[in-house]
Amino acid sequence: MTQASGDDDVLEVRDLSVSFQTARGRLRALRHVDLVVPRNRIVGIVGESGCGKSTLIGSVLRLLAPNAQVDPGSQIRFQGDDVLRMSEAELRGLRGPRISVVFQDPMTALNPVITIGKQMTDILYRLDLSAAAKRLRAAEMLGQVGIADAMRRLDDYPHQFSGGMRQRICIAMALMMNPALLIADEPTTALDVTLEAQIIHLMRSLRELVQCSMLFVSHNLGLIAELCDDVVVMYAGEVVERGTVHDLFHRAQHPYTQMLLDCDPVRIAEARRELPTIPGSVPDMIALPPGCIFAPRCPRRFEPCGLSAPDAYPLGGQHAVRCYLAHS
Amino acid sequence: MTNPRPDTAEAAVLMPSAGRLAWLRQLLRDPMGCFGLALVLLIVLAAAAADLVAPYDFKAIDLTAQFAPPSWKHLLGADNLGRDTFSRVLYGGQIALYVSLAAVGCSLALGLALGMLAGYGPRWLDTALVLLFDSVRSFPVIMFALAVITVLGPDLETIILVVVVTSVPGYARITRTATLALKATEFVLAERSLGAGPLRIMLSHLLPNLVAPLLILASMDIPVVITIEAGLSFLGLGVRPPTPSWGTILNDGYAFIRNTPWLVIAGGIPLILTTLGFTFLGEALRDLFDPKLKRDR
Repeated sequence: MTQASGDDDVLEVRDLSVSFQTARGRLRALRHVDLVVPRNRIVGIVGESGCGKSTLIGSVLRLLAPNAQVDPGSQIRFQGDDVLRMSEAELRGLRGPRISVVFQDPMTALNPVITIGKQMTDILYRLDLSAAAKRLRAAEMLGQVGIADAMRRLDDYPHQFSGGMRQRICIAMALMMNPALLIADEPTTALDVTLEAQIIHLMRSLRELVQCSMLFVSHNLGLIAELCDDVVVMYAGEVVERGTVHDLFHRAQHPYTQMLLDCDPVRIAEARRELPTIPGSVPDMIALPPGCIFAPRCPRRFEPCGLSAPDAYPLGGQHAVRCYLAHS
Repeated sequence: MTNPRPDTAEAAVLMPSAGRLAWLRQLLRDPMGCFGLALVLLIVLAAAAADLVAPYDFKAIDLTAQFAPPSWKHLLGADNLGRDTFSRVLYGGQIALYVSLAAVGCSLALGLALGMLAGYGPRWLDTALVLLFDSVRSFPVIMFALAVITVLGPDLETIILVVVVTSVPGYARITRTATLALKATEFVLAERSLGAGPLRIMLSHLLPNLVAPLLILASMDIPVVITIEAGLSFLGLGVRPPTPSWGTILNDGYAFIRNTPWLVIAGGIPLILTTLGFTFLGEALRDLFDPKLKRDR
């Protein structure tokens, strides 16, 4: 699926295909994925478990498992630099100072035996700053994410903080080097709803302060609608629909997107015991079905769907959908 | 010779550490740990202060005091050459502690380094190192020691070398297993995504997680090394006379055990106390840091 790109794009992923060598055969985790993150915008990636969200993040950072293989022809450009051709040393200069990540589970994302202050100042090892200046910067970042008494708390260990606070610390750590892109990999999944709202609020206010783009991965549609500017919907390793938040939430074209929206409990009008679901399950990515990837589960499939995979169909603006229904 | 406990080591790895001195307070609350710590401190102090405390030179021969029984003049009696046994026991403590601390320290450092390399490094290195560890471990310690000492000559440094070579695999294997467990944790991935290289991850993130459980193993290994040194010295393969070692004191006394049993007793008691002290201390430390054994305190 192609999309117009400008010089203002921070991250540009073109035709990315990634497969894993497994005992059963080649698992094609990502197929021809296109993704653009423009400067100062928040792009959401939504999709169910196993749709390739984490593989996509791993590819951008080049932190994939050793059995992963990026197909030739794939392209990942970060601020114009070709990520797939970077050396290990160049990658280390990319991770941290230019792209950083906030992970899902704040309980395990911090080293349990090292103080927060040490872990935070450690990130600044490239900078020629005195230890005191680094500490000051760490305390300042902790203050920005709303941790009271930051200077003193630098000497505390991760277990002395609550889950919500740890996620704030992880965000502060990710922003220590002023990256151009912050990737948030389901940052609120491990937290309860109250904290979720706080973290989302924090991320939105930080975006204005730090001026970075964000790639926000989630399976929570409500969060995506609230926080993101653009949305990419992924299904079984493919991008099935993209557009602005408005496009996706009000004019969803792909049957998968529509069904995903219908499954959001917030949208249920009448109280019933059974929650809406999408029947069927994700296809086996080692033996892919011919044609549209969603066809086996699609209630509106018709003749061409089983024969060949549909191309992305532009619907005006950024909105595009990979479905034959939009062609007709 | 060592009894590595991978389950313990692994469990202790992921446990968050409490305040800096909290563990010491907890240790002192455990009577066994308190007793072990006191014994270890006593022995270390006695050995360190041997020059000040010892009433005689350890090699001063006084033929008038031959086989003297314990008295105020010779607290633990004197041996067949009239040398003061109490002084010799004190200096023997220096040898025992030097050998055990040096050997265990080197094994710990080497084991940590090799274990981390095997666990975090590339697959082929892991395979090669594990093969090496297994081959070394398949040697019987005493036979290996006899062979090495025959070639290099009886010497303290040779004993240290033998102990290091035979105990590194134990430390390395535990380190490797724990490293493999840590490698999969999210914080290592998080560090990598923040631009940390392999060296930085190993030294500043894995190492602090690995040291605590291995220190416990090391403290339980010290008495083992002391007995090895004493055993080899007893066999005449350790330190050379007139340097005192608890093993040589035992050996000297062994020949005259019928008439002067205090020689054997004087050489044996410090050996027993040291072994007991370090073992109690090690067990108490393990109880303290192993979440699976945590009792209500």
